[in-house]
Amino acid sequence: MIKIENLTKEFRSGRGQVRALSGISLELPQGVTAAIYGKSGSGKTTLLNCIGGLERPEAGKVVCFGNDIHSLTSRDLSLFQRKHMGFVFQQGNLLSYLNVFENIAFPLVLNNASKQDKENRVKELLEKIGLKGAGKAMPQELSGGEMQRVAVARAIAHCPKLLIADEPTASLDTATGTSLVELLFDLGREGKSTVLLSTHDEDIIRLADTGVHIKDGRLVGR
Amino acid sequence: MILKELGFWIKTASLFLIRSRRSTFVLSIMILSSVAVLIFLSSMAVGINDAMVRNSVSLYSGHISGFSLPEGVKPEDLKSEGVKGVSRRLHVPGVILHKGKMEPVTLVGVEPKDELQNTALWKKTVKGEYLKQGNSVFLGEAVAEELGATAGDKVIFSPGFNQKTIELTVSGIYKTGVNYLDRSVAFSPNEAVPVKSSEWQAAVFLDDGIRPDSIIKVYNEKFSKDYGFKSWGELMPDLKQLIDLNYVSMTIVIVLVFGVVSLGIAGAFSIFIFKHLKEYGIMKAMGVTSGEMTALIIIEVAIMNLIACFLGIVIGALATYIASGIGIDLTEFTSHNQYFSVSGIIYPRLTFYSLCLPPLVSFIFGLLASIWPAAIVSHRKAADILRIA
Repeated sequence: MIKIENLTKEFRSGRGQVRALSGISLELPQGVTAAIYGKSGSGKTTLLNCIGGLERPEAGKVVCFGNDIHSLTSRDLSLFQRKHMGFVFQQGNLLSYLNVFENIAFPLVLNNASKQDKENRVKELLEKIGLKGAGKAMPQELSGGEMQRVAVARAIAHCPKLLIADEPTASLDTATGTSLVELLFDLGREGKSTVLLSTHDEDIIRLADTGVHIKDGRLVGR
Repeated sequence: MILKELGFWIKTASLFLIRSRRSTFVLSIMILSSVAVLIFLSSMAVGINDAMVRNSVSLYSGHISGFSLPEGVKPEDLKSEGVKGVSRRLHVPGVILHKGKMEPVTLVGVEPKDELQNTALWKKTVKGEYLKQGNSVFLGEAVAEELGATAGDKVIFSPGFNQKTIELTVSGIYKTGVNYLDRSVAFSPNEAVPVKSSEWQAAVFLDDGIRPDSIIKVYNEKFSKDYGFKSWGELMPDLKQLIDLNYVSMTIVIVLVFGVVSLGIAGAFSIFIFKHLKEYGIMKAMGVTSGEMTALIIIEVAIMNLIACFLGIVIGALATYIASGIGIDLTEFTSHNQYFSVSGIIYPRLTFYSLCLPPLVSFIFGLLASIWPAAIVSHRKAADILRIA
């Protein structure tokens, strides 16, 4: 269960203090796939960042699986993210100096998986994302869609309880984007992960179990 | 567990360096060339110091001087491991007379064969030839000029009032460029010296790399009495100071060069980090802690530094080895310098100082240079990094 209470986030910018999130409260049961949607600049990324612990809110709480993540120390938060969270960003997700295999294995090594478990899991995921023979390929040798599939595999590799994807289809064509989200949701459901995805693509919203509509930093509907 | 984690970060850092080969190459070349050049320069500094000592002690004085040695102590008694040769000398102050002119000198009685073997004074002969047995004298150029004497002339040496004078034939004239030798010292075979003192002076010449202090310690243990052995460092404090100054200057140069190089490395590495900034943000999002991130960057810099330093040591040592075999002739720049009176050829030499100081300073500065980029990455929030990258 993910419980968000009265979340408020402000940024200082050239235009003065900008309120990105205003008192958002939300509950998401474990294993749900949720699409957070809204126009550009509505606060989707900020909400996901606050839920994922990448950004600290000015007010409010994010309780992930019983842990108020913003009350954790920086180190404990990192260790929590390492174990329980997976992230997919818009683009440029992969570590350029690691090959596909090493990229997917990265969170497994961080979580002290054995060599055998690591190899088995990466091979399994490579097969699932349709890149069976591409383990040794470098990121720059992949297409945009392939890169995002590898990013999904890496985010899900250590079976996190929460999978956060911030507009993962933004740089992809519709068909590739849709198949990527299907893959993301399938892998999430398979691992019983809660999947939060931000998008403004209606086709993708329909693929999710639930939708969260954000407008001007406020929750306006589900 | 800690070793396993460290192994993972070392592997990750190595992959980062290997697969960012162009940037790694450029940064490594900066470090490598600085280390190699500074090893060579440090070795040159050591070689120059060696040459100054070699020139100064081999001309006349030896590495160790022994004063007021009794007849009971023989030159053979001073020979031990590390001692190349011992010259026995008698010092008699007096005046030399020629054609009505008079010059005060110290007549030094020597064994010509030993002197030929141990010293380089004979190489400084400008007229005539070096001493032979018998009543001959080897005069400094300034003394000979004052007396109007030249090789083959007869001169009179008088040790003082009511002392026996002797007639000596000028065998040759020398010019060292060392004022006190050229102006106030004359040499004769011991057998010709008129006053037979019961005490003698020793000039002890050592093998390369032997420290005078260690031999003096041996002498002091061997002879119950302190005969006043002194090293060249005590007798030539100006030279000692010059050598110390040379080392200090070289150390300052090394520190300054690496200060500048490390600023370059820090700047270049920060650009390197900024180029990959988003990746560091993604790693943070994956749960890499600030400590691990700092360690990763420091390991990256340390590995690059170690490899570049190692290659720099190999290249610098190789260049020094080649130069030490052939020598670098700086006679044109040293010919009027008293500390290079015998030879101006420099043989660069590797020592612990010349070999280890440049890479050590490079490594320390390299690590300091990694603090800036490490701080940039580890203190920023993942969201900030992802936003600006």
